[in-house]
Amino acid sequence: MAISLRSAAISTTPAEPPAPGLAAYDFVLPPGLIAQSPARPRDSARLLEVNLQFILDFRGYDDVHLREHWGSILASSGDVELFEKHYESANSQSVTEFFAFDLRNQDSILACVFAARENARMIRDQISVEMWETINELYLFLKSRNTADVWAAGPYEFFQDIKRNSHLFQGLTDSTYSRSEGWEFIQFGKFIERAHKTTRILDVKYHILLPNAGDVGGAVDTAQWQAVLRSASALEAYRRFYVREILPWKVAEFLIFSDTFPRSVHFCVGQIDEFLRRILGESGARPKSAACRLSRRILADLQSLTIDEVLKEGLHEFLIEIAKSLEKIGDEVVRSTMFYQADSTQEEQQLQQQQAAP
Amino acid sequence: MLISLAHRTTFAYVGKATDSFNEVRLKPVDDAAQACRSFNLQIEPATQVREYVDFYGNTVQYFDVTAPHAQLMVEALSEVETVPNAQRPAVPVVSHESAAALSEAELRTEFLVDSHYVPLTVDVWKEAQDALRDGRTDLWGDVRTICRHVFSNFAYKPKATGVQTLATDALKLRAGVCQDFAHVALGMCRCSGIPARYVSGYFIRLQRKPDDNEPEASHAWIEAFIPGYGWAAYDPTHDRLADDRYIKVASGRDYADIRPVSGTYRGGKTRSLTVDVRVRLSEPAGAPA
Repeated sequence: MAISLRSAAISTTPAEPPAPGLAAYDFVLPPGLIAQSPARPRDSARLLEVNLQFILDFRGYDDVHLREHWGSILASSGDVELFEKHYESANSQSVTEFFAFDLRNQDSILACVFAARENARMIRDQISVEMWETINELYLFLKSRNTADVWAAGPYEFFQDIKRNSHLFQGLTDSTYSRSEGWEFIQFGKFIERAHKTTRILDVKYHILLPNAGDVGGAVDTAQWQAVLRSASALEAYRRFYVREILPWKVAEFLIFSDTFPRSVHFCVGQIDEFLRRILGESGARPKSAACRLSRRILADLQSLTIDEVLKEGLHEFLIEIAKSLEKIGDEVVRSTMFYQADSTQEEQQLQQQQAAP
Repeated sequence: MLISLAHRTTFAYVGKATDSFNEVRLKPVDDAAQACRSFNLQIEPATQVREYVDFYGNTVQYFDVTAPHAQLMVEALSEVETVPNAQRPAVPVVSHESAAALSEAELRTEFLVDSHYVPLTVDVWKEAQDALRDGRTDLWGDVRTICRHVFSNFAYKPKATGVQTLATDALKLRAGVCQDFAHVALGMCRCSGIPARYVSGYFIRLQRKPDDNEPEASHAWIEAFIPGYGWAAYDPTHDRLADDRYIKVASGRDYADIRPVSGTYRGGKTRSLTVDVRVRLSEPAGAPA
């Protein structure tokens, strides 16, 4: 996962399993930014991973509603223990602090942007100055804000700014970064992250916004599904597809199976497979790497299953399965391409003091 | 004086070490004050040794041992003839003003500014002011005043400091070994505008008794640049000129530039580091030492 790619890139320790939390409140975190160290050949190419894009869409909710959701959002984030260690109660202030600004939470927005900026800083000579400035501005913007300001000035604008900045970064990468191997890694990381976030966004709705049976198709339910679409930046795209109404299974179908929408799980996995082919050199019909076999398997599922079959088997289980596979794919790519796994670290030869007795 | 030297360094590792890359600065220099008659470097496990001359003019031998090994031994055997004191020119009196007026002064800037072991802090500057409180004389006079100050105000105390100790830490302790004495004296000279460098080497104890088992080690002192003369050596640990009992091996800004044996390897921690130094007169066999 890009989350673990990031921590691995920073610490050069083995990737940890990512916390499942981000999607709980509609993060969409794409790109992996990788730079190839000119001194090293491909197999030990260094990955520098930039987690940039965070979208927090509060549009569907008012403040009171939001507070009600904090507890469950936290619960579904998987970071409850860490949160409880540092905070007394879950309210809009503390949760915003925890997810946006708290550096003790390594998945907080500030922590991610900070890590991304550090990585970008290390490879400033390899990315365009525009890319660097964008990520640096985002970092400075975040550093200049705090939770109180955000809630006073309106969280919507705050998250909108972050979102705009990360889209800008994506666009700049597209228009200023050479189509080298580094670009392939960026794209791979981006689509892994996108697919993952889309599964999480859908799953959150499944968990938290589960309506009473009578509410399905009602105004609240529709508004909530609309928010889900918005948080995946998919509302307009969905509208072009299904003009009339927003229905849960249609939203799920669209976000999972769409052939053309660039944030649908199917589209992303198709791209992942393509970039795996390039990165790992998987040219044969039958892949050699476990990562590629896994991506083919979920791609086959995404190409052959229907939404009815998925709902019958359980949407939640299906999404978890996909998310887990994506994590495995990401981990294996990190393991096999990013780092030279030294069997031991390099030690300094002990030095001798010059101490001739008088 | 003909002196024979043996300097053996043995690293023993926990488990095996591999991919060991090392540099040694153990070869005595050839200059106006001494001639290196022979030099032989032994490495165990045996390996090929190459050499280059570094920025400071020191001869550096380097080698690698890639195969797994539990122990690495580096032994340098050399014989050096030092020029008798009577034949050494006296250090001339040069005033600070005339030294500062020389345009070539900037060529030695690296010996006037901070270096890794010798940060030029306010404390170091104050110590230099204290040392020179009776007024400054000429360059060499001030160097000796500074070294005498270090000699009389610092305690020679093994184990009080380590190989990583900075001049500023030794200054706080007011104690240390010759490495620390040299670093402190360097800082004080540099704060006083006198270019000074660290010298690594050995000295021979002539009044050594046959049953004297005190372990020997490599020694360190300093050199200050005196225009018209060159680098003049003084030993703050003994408060004396580095005379014909001293064998110079390498010089640099501080210990970091002259590390006798340094390198990296892969594998476990170092279990032990043993250093054996032997400095003896190599007069005709049978003559009393």
